[in-house]
Amino acid sequence: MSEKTPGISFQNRMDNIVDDYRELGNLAIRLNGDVVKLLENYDESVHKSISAGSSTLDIKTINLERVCIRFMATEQPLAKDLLFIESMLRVISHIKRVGHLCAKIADSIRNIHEVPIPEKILNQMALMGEYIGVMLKKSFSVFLNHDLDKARELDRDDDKIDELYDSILNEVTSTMINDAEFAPYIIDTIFLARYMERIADKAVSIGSRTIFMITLKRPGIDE
Amino acid sequence: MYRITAEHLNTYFGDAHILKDISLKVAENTVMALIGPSGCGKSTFLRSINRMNDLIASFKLEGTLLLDGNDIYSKNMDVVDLRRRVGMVFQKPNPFPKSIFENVAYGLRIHGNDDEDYIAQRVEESLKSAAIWDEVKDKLDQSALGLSGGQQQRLCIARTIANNPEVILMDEPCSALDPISTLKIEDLIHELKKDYTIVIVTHNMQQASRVSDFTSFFLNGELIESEKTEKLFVSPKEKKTEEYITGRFG
Repeated sequence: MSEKTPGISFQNRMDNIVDDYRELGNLAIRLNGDVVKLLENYDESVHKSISAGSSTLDIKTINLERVCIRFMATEQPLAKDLLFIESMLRVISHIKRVGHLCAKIADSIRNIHEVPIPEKILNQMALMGEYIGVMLKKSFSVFLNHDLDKARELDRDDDKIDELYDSILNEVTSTMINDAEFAPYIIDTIFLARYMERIADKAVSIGSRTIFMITLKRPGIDE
Repeated sequence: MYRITAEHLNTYFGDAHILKDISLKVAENTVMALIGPSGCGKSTFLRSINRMNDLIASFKLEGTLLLDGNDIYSKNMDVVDLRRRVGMVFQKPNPFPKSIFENVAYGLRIHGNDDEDYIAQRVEESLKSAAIWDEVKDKLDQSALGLSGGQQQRLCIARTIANNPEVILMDEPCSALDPISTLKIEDLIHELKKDYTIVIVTHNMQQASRVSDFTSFFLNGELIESEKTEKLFVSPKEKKTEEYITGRFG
């Protein structure tokens, strides 16, 4: 048992799945980065690029789902391989959702980009976006590396996002009270922050799935 | 209740130490799958249960192997009766060159039954239990050798259960069968475990996971892990088990 060698076909197909997963993850990270750029400086071409990127993410996710299903049907993985592929199907659905949320954020930014949103709110959103980018990178990596400790960190990382989200809501509320002109744009601003917060939730969900994949226990429920 | 109990079992063929300190229990009315690479000792363990290894002169056994609490290797054990109580189905179907009816009746006759009505009733019951009655009821007097491989294997199972065994040992019973015949045998195993305790050797992981309640992984004559099947195939305790069932085995 010195050389650990699954079948060549099995390993090649698993490697291809991992490559496709990396591509999805990189695309989601890029979309989130574009969202931050759009917040700082609205650009119609970036908006379109995010929408197109979200659609691409959809197609690539569906393709990878097909690949995973075919892999399970033909290679019949067991134990850690089975748990990995089963979890992969769930994780990529979270990644796909990140794309949708980025597209929704881009739409919200388009709706309010000409409105003089208070600097403090914009700065907090940009900070939130950067922080989410770090969380996404971490979540994609912990899943691939079966990193239990870092997967657990994601839940704590999310506290920072919740804090920023609450702060943004407070700012929006006080701005609304003090500036009636801002009122029509409240919904978009709140949604924008809410969508960002939900992207962070997706990173947490990927971390939770990673924990389940390794321990077969739901963090915070079975543990 | 445990039907079979092995405690610190060691077996040898001449100087070759085959099974090494095996302790394993098989509960009543369950299916235990034995898995592991060729030469790991799983068939030797299986054949120790009905003393088939006794047919090899150099075979030696140490430790304890119990059937219903009775020592299988006791001097008082009637080996013919043991093999009635512990039936066996082999890799390749091996019907006798006799009629379908006589294949099933054979075991009853050699155990002293001469009541033809009882024998006819038992043959029918056994063929029904082996899920082959409907296929052969109109040709019981025809040669068993004319049946398909899958039908022959189910006939062999009928022949085994005609003797009212407590345990059925199966040594890769589907390895020579097509997928449909395999499915029929697997369905049959699910039915048979209501009345019998079954120990099956298989190289097919999917088959082990489909038919068994418990699975034991053997490697180099050692029992590496014995667990509930769903646990062993999803989250095995032992790294060696994980490596074997995921094909990382070099």
